[in-house]
Amino acid sequence: MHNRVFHSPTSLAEVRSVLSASGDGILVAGGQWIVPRLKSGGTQASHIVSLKNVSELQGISNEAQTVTIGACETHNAIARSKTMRSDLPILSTIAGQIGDPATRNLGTMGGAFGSDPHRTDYAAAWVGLNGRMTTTRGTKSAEEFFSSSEGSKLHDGEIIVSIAFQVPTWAAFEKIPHPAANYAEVGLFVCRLPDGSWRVVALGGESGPKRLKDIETQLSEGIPNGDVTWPVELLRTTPFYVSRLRALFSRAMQGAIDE
Amino acid sequence: MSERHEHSVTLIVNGVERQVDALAETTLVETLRDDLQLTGTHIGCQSARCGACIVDLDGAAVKSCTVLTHQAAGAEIHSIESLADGGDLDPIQDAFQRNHALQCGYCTPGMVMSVRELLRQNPSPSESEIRESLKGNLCRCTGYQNIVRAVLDIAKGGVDGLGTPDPNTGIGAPVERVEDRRFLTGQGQYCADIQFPGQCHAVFARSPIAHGRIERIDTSAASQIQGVIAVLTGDDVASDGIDELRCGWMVYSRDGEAMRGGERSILARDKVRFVGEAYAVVLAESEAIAREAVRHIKLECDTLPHNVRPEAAHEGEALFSDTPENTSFDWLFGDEMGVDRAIENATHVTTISLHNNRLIPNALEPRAALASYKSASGNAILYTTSQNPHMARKIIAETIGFIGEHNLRVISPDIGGGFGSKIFIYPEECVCLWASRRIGRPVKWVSTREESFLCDAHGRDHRSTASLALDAKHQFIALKVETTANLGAYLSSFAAFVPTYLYGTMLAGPYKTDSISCAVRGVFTNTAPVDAYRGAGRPEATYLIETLVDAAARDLEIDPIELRRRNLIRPHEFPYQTPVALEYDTGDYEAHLEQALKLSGYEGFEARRLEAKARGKLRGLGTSLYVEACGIAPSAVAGALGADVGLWESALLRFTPSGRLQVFTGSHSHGQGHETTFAQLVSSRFSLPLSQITVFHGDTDNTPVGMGTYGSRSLAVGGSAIMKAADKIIEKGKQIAAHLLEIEEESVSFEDGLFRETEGAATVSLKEVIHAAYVPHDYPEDLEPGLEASAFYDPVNFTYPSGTHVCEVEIDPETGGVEIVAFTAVDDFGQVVNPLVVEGQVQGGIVQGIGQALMEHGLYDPETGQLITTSYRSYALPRATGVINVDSATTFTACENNPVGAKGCGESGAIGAPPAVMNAIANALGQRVEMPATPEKIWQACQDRTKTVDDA
Repeated sequence: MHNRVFHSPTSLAEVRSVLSASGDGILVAGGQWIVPRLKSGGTQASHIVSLKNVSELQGISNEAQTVTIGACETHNAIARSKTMRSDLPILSTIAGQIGDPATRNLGTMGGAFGSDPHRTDYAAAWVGLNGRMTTTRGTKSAEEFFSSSEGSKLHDGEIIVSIAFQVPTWAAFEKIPHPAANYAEVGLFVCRLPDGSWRVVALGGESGPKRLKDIETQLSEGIPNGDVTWPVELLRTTPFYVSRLRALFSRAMQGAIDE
Repeated sequence: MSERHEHSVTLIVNGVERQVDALAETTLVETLRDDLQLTGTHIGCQSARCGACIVDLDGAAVKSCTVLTHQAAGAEIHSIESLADGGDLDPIQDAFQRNHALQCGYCTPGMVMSVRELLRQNPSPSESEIRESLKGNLCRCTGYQNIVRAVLDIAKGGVDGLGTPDPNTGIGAPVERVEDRRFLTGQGQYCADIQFPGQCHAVFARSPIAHGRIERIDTSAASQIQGVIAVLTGDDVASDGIDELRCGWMVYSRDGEAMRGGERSILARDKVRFVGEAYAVVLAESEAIAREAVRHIKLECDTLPHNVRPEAAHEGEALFSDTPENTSFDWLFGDEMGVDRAIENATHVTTISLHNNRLIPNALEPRAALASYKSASGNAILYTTSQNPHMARKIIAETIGFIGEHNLRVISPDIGGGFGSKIFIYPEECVCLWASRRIGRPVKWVSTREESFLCDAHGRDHRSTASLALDAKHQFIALKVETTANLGAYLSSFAAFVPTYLYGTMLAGPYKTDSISCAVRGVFTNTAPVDAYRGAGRPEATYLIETLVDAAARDLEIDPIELRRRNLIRPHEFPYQTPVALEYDTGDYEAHLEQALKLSGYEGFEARRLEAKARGKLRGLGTSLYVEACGIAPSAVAGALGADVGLWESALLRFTPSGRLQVFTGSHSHGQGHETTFAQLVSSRFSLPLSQITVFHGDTDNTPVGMGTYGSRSLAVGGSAIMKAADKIIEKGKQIAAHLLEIEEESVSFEDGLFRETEGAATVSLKEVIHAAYVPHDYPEDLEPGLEASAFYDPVNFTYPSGTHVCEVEIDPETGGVEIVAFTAVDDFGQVVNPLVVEGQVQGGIVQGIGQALMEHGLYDPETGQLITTSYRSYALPRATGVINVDSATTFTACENNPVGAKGCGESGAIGAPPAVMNAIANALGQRVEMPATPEKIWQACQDRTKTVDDA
């Protein structure tokens, strides 16, 4: 039998030394994904490293219109945080729609990006808001992260430290939840950045979040919301998906019109 | 292999500091249940999807299956056990009880903890906020409606509840359930909660392939693991002479041949026939060790071609040597040639093909067994999750062979939902009992959710073509049905009965159709066995009829309600002999149809449709009528239909010397609330308060031999046995009373708890009579002391509940999303004993039916033979957010063929709802889609619709 060892380090330095000493440690933050996997035999690692008490992974701050969220902040902490609600309310809303109240109490943003980054509801906003990820190996942008399968891979022992988002002047997110798993089967994030540019990011395609640059351009050129032309090649390949995206787009833009 | 190290952790649990030992991977729910015996926190999925394990961790609700015990070190934990203060329920628990917000109780502790979290954050939530907050908690029984109502009741500041303050607790009274208190406080005792000293744990090795010939099973590495006691395979089953499991019903093909194939070894021998079939079992000191050891068993298999598609069964590799075309039976019912002639001569014929989708029942409590065999006495106890413990005892004893029925005690304690899936005799409980004898220790097995998906009997899975012939006046003159029923890889206990006699005999529905024929081919595929699931055969028949009637109305361009009205059996035509063997006793179908139309505001539908259209939505209204046969069944009829059992029910009533009443029933309650409703029957009869009555069920050693609970039979058959036993008690009581009153026995009558002189004023109370019976100092000669009586009741006919369901949907043509915006159900269940319980059954059944219509679908990959839907992330079930409140009512026609007058209500929702929903969708779209009506199918239909409109 595996004789697993539980570790609960309090600093990143300590986490690193545990990981390098153990060789095959797995990281547990909120546990919503990894603990069931551990129980069903999906991972054989002999060291379990809890990130719950690592102070560097906590905290929500807004500096120079960039909101940075510690990887171990829970979805509910993000949904309820005063900073978030005043400075980046769209992300509070997204966080408050993930899973259910009990999973939001434990599940973390770092866990969402660490386990299933292509499908987390955060991903579209992250791409749209010029997101950056800081890990123990450095930082990368959301665009880089999703540009290739290599980009979204974490190295052995690499730990997500924080996730950052630029504050937009306006943003909206709409989703059609997966009927069983609740993540955005189709999602659409739209925002306007301080420089006046638009971002439109679709979720639910085969390769994770995808900017719809065609539509962004049309919006930037001042095309009335309802009248954007959807790229023909997109319509041809997955008409059902695009039809749902279009519906979400009109819902999202309703807010822009109302404003 | 090294020793496993546990480390001490300190937790503050329910206000008390507790020190526990835990492995690194031990979860909080395991610590609470196994180490601290706080078994009110339940495990339903171990994947953070069902919510049964929710507890408070430092003031926040969490799913304790996702918390490592070591991560919780120093934390304050509150489990369901901490809520009730002494005898007083917490306000949430109180509101749940008073609003009948629970049935089987398995999800209840987690649900209560979720509501606590909600009310902490938001003391006065709206209905939609409540539903949103509960979407992480699955409930398979209630349909969520009364749970939401309970929370609204709290939120408005004072619990009104649904029950009346009326002191009457008898038949017809909406009394709160007596079982609720234990479920709400975490004191329910389910199979997995029970532990025997010295028990070991069984984990099964399950086939990863859909079809293969077993060459060799290498158990050597697994056996070497420290803590493994034994590894057993099909060879051991064979060498111990264990019999095979087989179907309890015999069906004959149209050529007179008996059905073939389908016998199942309790561990696969020679072949594996579906993914998940058990071929070996590991017995070990802990479940974790057993699970680890299973990974070291090597199955060497000669892989055979597999087939999961029933329509291709005849071309596939034969599963059994005696069924070369994988056909177990080719059953024909009715005059097919006559029907063909009628169709040829008809004015109009509508033909449809449809699929009744495969469902995976998903009772929230996974199956479990705990067996203990004692060699010295030859006795054994088996705790198991069975809807019919006496049948389990008989069949398991016969199958295992080494133990007599008289030596085997089977106990079904509290059971967390069944819906049919816990009727059957499965291999696992047999293996536990057999293994307990082999190793001389108690053996415990608890299914994982994945195993439930893979191995519990699935439901439905019919492919049918049906033609309805009408004459010039739009009267139904003939119905021809041809169905392929997927039986799965083996014939489960009721498997042959469900798609034949429970289906073909129901094809008349509420209509006067002159002639009906039904041909059913039961075929084997490399999938889990298919058997009865809520409604069993009757939902399949109703969906087919009601879809066909609507299709005919569309063809003929007439109002589907009008078409139904023209063909309904009229009240004066009862008893009505259908062309498919059944004789309906009573009913008034127009009554519930008209009331349902009224309640649903049918008249105003066109305005609502136009209003929705203005918003870009397609609104549709669908109706379904059903008749079902419940109260299964007159034994002689069952025998004639191939059953090898009788289908009576039993009861034993015992007055204790102090005048309290114990009721022992052969029925079993797993959410239905028999401890309340059965007590209400005798409360009425003897004028006793419920507090003086206790109902016992589920233990073969202290209940009379019974047939169990399924087919909405418990009240009609089991309740009738209770009434018969009560009659016997009263008869004896009259003899005693006559003696005490010094009058003739014929002059004594009994009412309101008093034996009285019919023509005079002299009375003696029931209590005095009971006292005399147990202290027979002044007592009739020749009369035995004591006051108890048992009775067996064999019904004279089925009962025939019926009803009308009306559903309204709105479809978003851009997303394919469908929203159920209104649902109305009016049912005739005969005598209602407890309207709260009946309403709960209706709501829960309808939500299961909505699940079938919109989302549930057990899917196998034809290429690999793997089950695709093996978790709550891939198999969608109705959650609190996706469904709405049902508006329900009842109409009444007397059921005269049982002493309770009850017809049965447990399955009606699952029968009536799918066609109502699907007809509403077809009404909105102008065309049918198949179940489940997923957004993609609906969107596609909208595209076709737009295209048609454009073309026109």
